[in-house]
Amino acid sequence: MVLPLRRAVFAAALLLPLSLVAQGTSNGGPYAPLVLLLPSGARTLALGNTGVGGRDDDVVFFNPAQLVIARAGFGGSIERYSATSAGGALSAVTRFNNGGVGIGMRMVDYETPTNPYPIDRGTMLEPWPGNGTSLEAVVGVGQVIKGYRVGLAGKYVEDNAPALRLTRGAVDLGVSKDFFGPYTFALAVQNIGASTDVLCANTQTCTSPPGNMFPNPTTPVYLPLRTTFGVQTQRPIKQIDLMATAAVFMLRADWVGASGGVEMGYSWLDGYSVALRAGARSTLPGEAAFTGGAGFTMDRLSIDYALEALTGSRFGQRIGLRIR
Amino acid sequence: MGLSTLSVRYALITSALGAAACTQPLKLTKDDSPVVLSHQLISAPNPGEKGSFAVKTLYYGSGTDKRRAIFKDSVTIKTKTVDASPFVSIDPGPAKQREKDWGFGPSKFPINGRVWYPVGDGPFPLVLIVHGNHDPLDYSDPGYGYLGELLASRGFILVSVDENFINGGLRGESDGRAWLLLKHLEDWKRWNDSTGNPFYHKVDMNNIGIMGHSRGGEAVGIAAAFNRLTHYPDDANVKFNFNFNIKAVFAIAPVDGQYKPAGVFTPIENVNYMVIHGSHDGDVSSFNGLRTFQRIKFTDGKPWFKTAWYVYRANHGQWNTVWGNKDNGPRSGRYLDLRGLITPDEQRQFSRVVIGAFLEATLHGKSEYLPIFRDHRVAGAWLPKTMYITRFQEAGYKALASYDEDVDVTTGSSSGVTISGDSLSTWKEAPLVLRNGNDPLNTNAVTLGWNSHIRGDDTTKLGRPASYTIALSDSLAGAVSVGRESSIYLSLAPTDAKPGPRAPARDTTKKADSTKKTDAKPPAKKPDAKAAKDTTPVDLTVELVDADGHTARLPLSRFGVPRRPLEIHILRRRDEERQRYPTQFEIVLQTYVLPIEEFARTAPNFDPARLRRIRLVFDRLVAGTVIVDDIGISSSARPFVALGAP
Repeated sequence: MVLPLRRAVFAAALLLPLSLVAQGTSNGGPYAPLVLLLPSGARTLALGNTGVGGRDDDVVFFNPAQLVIARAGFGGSIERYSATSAGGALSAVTRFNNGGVGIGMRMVDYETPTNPYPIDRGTMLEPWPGNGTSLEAVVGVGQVIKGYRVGLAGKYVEDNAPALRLTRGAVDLGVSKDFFGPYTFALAVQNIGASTDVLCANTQTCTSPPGNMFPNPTTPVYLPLRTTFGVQTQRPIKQIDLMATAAVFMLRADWVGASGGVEMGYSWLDGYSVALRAGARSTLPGEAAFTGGAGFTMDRLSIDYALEALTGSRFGQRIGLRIR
Repeated sequence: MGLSTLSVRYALITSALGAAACTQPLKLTKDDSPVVLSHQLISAPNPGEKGSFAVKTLYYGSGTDKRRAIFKDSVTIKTKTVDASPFVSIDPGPAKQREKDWGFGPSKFPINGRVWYPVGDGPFPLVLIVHGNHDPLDYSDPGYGYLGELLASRGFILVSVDENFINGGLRGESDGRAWLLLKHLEDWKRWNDSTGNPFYHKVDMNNIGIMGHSRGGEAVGIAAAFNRLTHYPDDANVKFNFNFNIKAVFAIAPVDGQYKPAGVFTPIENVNYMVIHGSHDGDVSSFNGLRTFQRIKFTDGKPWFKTAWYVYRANHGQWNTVWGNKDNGPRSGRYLDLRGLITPDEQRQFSRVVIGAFLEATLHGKSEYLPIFRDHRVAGAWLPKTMYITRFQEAGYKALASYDEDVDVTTGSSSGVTISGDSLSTWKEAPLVLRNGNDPLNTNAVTLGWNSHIRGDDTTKLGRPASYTIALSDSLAGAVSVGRESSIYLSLAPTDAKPGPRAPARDTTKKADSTKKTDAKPPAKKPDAKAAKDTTPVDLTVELVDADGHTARLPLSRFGVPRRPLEIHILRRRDEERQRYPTQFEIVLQTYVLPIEEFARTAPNFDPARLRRIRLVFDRLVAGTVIVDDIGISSSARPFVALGAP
């Protein structure tokens, strides 16, 4: 009797975030750098961009605590968001002490209007006269402390827009633990850093509203401080490997969203497997709710493909490679 | 922007090819069983076929099982729970969970069993069988029902002991499994003595057999040891008082050494012992039971015997109808190569025959089945058609050379034994190891290699055959009292190693000149590693020499099949197979029991009573290598050799 009840509770925990998918009003922005709002791995993107409880090398972008149990290896992925914007990510994890260390870098290249700054994902998809880039470099470490996985990551972020260059340092904190068998519970607070008054390269365009870069020159731009709590589980059901993940997250203190996804894997020979994935997420500007994808693993090499729905009936496509 | 149909197709084909390239083709040693098993010398009824008794079943149990009604509401005989906590320790977290799941912990383990028994007055020998580790909720105990039906019909009471509640992730619990078996026997003794009990005076408590599978296979050995102890070796405050007449111990694909009392492998003495193991065992992937076989001792002068059978293409689970062919769980077909396995029916037919024969011989005293354990070829019609390698020894065996005593290759196991070699390319003593992890078998053997070719241009030139001789001193020959009815023991396994041609004999008539350049050719090239495997049958001559120099000679193959190593591929992926196992074969020596009488028949002048030399002459194959162990003599093997060789 206890077992079915527990299963029901976990099913609810996994499904509850999905009920929040459509929620969200003002997202508490403006946020910058843009790269911090973008997906960072093909597998996680297919799962609704949910990676707080992940175990792949790209978990360095989601939760440093999970570096403790992340599979050692490296990976990379590239995504085409629209005809004028594309990005990619690289990450690697190795064992360290009683946990792991990871490094990662991701970057997006897009077209942007001359102003305003910062732009959002929706604006990024359109053709504009200017060029922008945004990048993140992160180093994280995860260790086991008193039975909990605890992680810390330091990151350098940068936005290059036509009129300015924004650089910042930020910190991610994470904690996770497995409970009740195969359930990983994870909490991450990301992008902890100072909000900023953007340095404006062109004072003339900065000072005269309306239609200028800022409503007024002193309006702050925020790092997208994100608090994510998620659960992930994996279990075999007959010959299928089922993985489910879900998370609720909060951007600053203003916007609550959720995401989740399911993966069904099948292996016919030890080391070889295929997987189908589907996910959903609360949408930020430019995003639509549903994601999906597939993966193929051949021994230590995995190839992943993900598709994310974007606004305007567009789709972003991401291809990733992981080597363990 | 989607992937084109062509690229998808290309990706799929590439993936399929990649996967196929990693799956190795099915590789099996060529089956010689149609020839080897073409005889049937035993005329007694097939012990694998049902007997004349009607069979009934019942369950007994403590009634505390939350999961299974048969051990709760359906028990015919109610048993008391036992406190197994000194033997089974579980961490607090899992312990709590187990108590929730099962309704009891180690302090209240139930005594549950399902019984197949013959309808009749008895008394019938009692045989317990216990499963090993497996998914606790995929109950293992019903999986021996086919043996229950067989054995009960042949006049045995068979109990399949329930120890599912001890299964799962526990370690170091094998002594608990063993102790539980003995607690079952205590109940049986009580029932046999209790008027009103369905088994009152129906159990022959003087003829008890215990059988176990996997961890249960180790447990029966431990139980045989505990049965004679007065105290639990790990805690002398726990006293034992069992002393049952356990006469037969049968292990199916056992583990060994998971429990070590006082840090040593469990010593077992004075029981009839049989162990069987499949070459394609995907769980216990080495013949661990060989180590148990090696260390069993017969010290009380009674006519015990021990035997070990290696069954080609058998696996771990098919001896239990619940476990099936996937030895590591339902998903292990992903990595275990199941194509080479004999069918479940064949595997169980094998166990019916050998278990039936073993129990008939040891508990019913039917000596007509004994020859099968000396040479399985005498029962060729009963055994499924696959290849078997068998070990055997009975209590009368006296070791002449077991290679375990010292590092002197010229001495044997008894004083008075002198060993010599002639023209051998390889002569060394070394430990035998198991395939999995080079786990030591705790016994040494001698490796003998020869090549009769003489190095040089003339490839047809052969030298004198190499030989290996065990010489007995007069006093030793008198002490072992060899006679016409004695038998020579020899255990041997050919290997694929082939030494290079031997050097020509030095011409001692020529004067040596150290300043002269030698015209000797450089050493022969090493054999090409990729050269086709030599499949020439291995054979040699066994020569017995008496004190007057009269010889009697017979080929070894008369007494059994000297086979090259049987090829084993357990895993589907070649790379994983090579990574996990250092060799693709297990060295299992075949025991040959050679009745001296058969030698004497070939050489009337040879006097068996004056035997002085046992010589292996490598004259039937130009080059080869064999591993030899346990050369000895017995004067009490008569019941086992009575039928002669096929």
